[in-house]
Amino acid sequence: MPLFKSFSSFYEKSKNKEIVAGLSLISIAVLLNLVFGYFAMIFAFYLSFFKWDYIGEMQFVGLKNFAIVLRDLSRGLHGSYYLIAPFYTGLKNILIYTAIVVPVQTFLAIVLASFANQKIKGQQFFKVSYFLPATTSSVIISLIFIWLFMKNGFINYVFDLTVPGFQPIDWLNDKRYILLAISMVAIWGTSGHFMVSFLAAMQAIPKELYEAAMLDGAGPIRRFFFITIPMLRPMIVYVVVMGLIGALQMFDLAWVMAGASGGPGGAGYTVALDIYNEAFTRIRPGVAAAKSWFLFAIIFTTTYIFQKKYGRALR
Amino acid sequence: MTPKERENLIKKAWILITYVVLITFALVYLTPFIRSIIASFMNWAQASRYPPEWIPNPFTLENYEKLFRLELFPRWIRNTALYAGLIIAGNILFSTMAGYAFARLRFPGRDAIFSALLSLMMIPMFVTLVPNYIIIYKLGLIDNIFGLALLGLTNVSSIFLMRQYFMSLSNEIFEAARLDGCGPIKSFFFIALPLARPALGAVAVYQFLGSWNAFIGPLIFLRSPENFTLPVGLSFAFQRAMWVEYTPIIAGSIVASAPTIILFLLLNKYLIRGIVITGGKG
Amino acid sequence: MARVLLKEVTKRFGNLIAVNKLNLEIKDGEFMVLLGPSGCGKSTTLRMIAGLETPNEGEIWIGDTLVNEIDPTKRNIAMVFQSYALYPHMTVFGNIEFPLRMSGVPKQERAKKVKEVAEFLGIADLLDRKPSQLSGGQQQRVALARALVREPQVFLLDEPLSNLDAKIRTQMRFELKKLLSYELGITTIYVTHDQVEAMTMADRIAVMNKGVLQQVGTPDEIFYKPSNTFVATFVGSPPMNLIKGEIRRKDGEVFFETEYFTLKLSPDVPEAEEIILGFRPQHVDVALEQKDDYISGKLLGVEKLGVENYGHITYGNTDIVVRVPEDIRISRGEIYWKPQKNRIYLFDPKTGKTIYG
Repeated sequence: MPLFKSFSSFYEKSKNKEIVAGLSLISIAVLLNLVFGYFAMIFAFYLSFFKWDYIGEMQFVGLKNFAIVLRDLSRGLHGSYYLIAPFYTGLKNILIYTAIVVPVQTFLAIVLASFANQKIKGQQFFKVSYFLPATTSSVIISLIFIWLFMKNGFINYVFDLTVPGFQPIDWLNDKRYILLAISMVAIWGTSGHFMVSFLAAMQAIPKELYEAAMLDGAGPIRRFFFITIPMLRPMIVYVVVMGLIGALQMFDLAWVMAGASGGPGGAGYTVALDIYNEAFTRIRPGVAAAKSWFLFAIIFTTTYIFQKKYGRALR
Repeated sequence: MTPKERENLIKKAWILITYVVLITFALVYLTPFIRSIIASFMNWAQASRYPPEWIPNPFTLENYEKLFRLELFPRWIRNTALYAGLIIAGNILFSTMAGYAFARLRFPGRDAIFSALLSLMMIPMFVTLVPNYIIIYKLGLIDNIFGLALLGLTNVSSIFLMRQYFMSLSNEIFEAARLDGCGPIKSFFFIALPLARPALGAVAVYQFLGSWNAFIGPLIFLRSPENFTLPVGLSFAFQRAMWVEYTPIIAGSIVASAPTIILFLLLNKYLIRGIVITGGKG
Repeated sequence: MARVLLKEVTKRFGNLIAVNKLNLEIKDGEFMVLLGPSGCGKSTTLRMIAGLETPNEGEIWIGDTLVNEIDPTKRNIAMVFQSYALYPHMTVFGNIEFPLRMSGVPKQERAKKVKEVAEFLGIADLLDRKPSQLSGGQQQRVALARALVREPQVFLLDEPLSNLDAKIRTQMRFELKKLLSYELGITTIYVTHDQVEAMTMADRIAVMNKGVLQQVGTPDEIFYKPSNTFVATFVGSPPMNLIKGEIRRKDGEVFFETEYFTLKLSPDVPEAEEIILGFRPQHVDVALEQKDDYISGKLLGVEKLGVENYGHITYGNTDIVVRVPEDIRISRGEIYWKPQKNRIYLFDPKTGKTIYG
């Protein structure tokens, strides 16, 4: 209809104004994310096919970088010395670490939240004290725990007091215990934060549900398993997924507590440390990129499988 | 014992268990902090004694003195504050602008661009770390707080938070402003920005926690000790064994974590609520 | 002051036609109510007049200007929103001043105008407060003040009373009408789904349904001369009874026949077979004993609304509502009723259009 086409210029004008305003307001944020997010990602992909030392010519090597990673894995599987199979060592450690940290911190957080989710005095005090570690830098936490984990340190003292027949352990210098020590610090650092999340989710469950269940004759234990847990499911999935993402990329704690080379017998070595070392110690950015794609694949598949099985995370 | 008495007894026992568990864990979470604060006033001989002692004897400020005698330490504080300040300012400015545009303005490609940003959240930082190092290196900004800050000036989760906030505001307010003579930019400055104060506060606090505590970024992008931030500096001081004793490290940890802990204690009510809603610091 | 003219205005949202070829004239100084159920297009119409939505087709005139191409700010209109849309971060003064500030009025003149309008609306003592410290009625007045301060030619209100409690609503209804029509005499377009608001405030009502204008007329015309079944049932409470049946002519007399009863109509009804008969519950005579021409029925129950009582009578699937005497004793049992002859409407069952009455 030609009659109606001509008059829309005002709307065109105000629409254009909105478009110009919108695009300029997002421009800087989008530009930065384009460069440091998308461009970097594409570059990481490109890089994984090249051999380079940051200075000289980039040399195309095809899939060689990935082959290096696979050879490392196969060496590790055949029981090579940890220094010859660093990626395998890091991967093995990080999987053990994740298998300890994620279930324990999630379980602990739920248990503590359930205890706190009653009519009790000082709930805010408990929340604040449990949350405190989450506000502190993981490096600072590690430095404090290095001291607490010393052979004549506070942690051995506490175990000595509470566990009969306990022999002092040199936690951070014993390859049997260092990963466990790091796991304990990680659990200490994050479980309180997740506990507060669970508590909030529990307090959002409508009271009527519990009242109805009570009228139906469900005791406190059955109410917990038939109402609280199912209602918490999205939050549980969220906490597990966040826990997985955090644990599989663990770097700070290991760097400080075990050192860049992973401490005694490489028992504190992680995939993240290995990527760092490839990029900045061994100066093989291409191999580092290849390894980072492996890490990405591991994180993506574990979180994807978990969410596929137990429903999508909150939000 | 009547059933009623038995029930009361069970209830009382349960309350007792509850408090025992909650207090025990409060001690688990708090003791490392308390013990560090106390030990920072001890000499190393006392702090490393077994079994542990609780009262500094002699009470000494020696550890803090040693710390500040190291010329690097005040620099690390300043660097950390500068880095945190840049990150907070950048996020407030750019994330608010972008969040407003994504929530309130109509322009082609808006939703596609937004979901493209969101999907960046799935990419682990280790994938982009090396390329970003190279980009910053090519820009000549390695070993420079500004170069490091450039990477964090905007953050997808800040944009997301601001967008959610602006979407939660009533449509009618923006329409009223439109009729009162506000174009898209005027309504950003006169309506959206003043109304966004609570969300801006949240973004500022999260970014403060994140940047003050950041480690891997500063570790990689800063090279010389005088440019380090507190976490990198302290771990460097520890690994280089700058002091024979461990107590200055503990004192340094107290100084480094004090700002975030004090901020948290002051704002705990808002923070806990907010952090629960947005799901954590990282 | 100005009239508002809508010519063939159409608005589509994707496949949905929100407003379909709307023609409507609001005269200078008139209080026009757009009435209809939610989703009927009344708010969209208002927002198109305000300039918040783009019509896909048609013309909108305010005064002698075609405003399609004119920015909302320059249309000389003011709008009051359902939620009032007060700026929560500004004081009452700041809120009222805001449109003047945006159009670059000098500061002193702004202060003077804000004071004037605040005094006029009796909110001069609230100027330093924030909207959150005001009651619903006060917020409403601030919203009015913010609209009035621009001295608009046309006043647009979108369900302005629906956020108030019932008691204040009745009071504000009268106040709004007094202010806009009697004191200012300003052209007003008022959107509501509440027929009582429409009936009590409007000079004329435009009833809309599914994007189509059903009828325009004074409250009396809308109530007594509904143009179709939609208007007939939407306006009036309880709604008009509608019964399907057939017209039969026998010996010069005309009857309306259904499965259940026969009703004698006046002989001037138009020729038709299938028909819908309508009458309002208030326009029925009721008796407890059989009388001439009265129809018998089973009374199922009585709803007591205070002064007025309504009885429900059923015939199969059809439920008929009639007003019963205030002092009625029974609530069940046999009852006899007859619609008043001159208050009967007949509708075409295919189009729903009124063909008689």
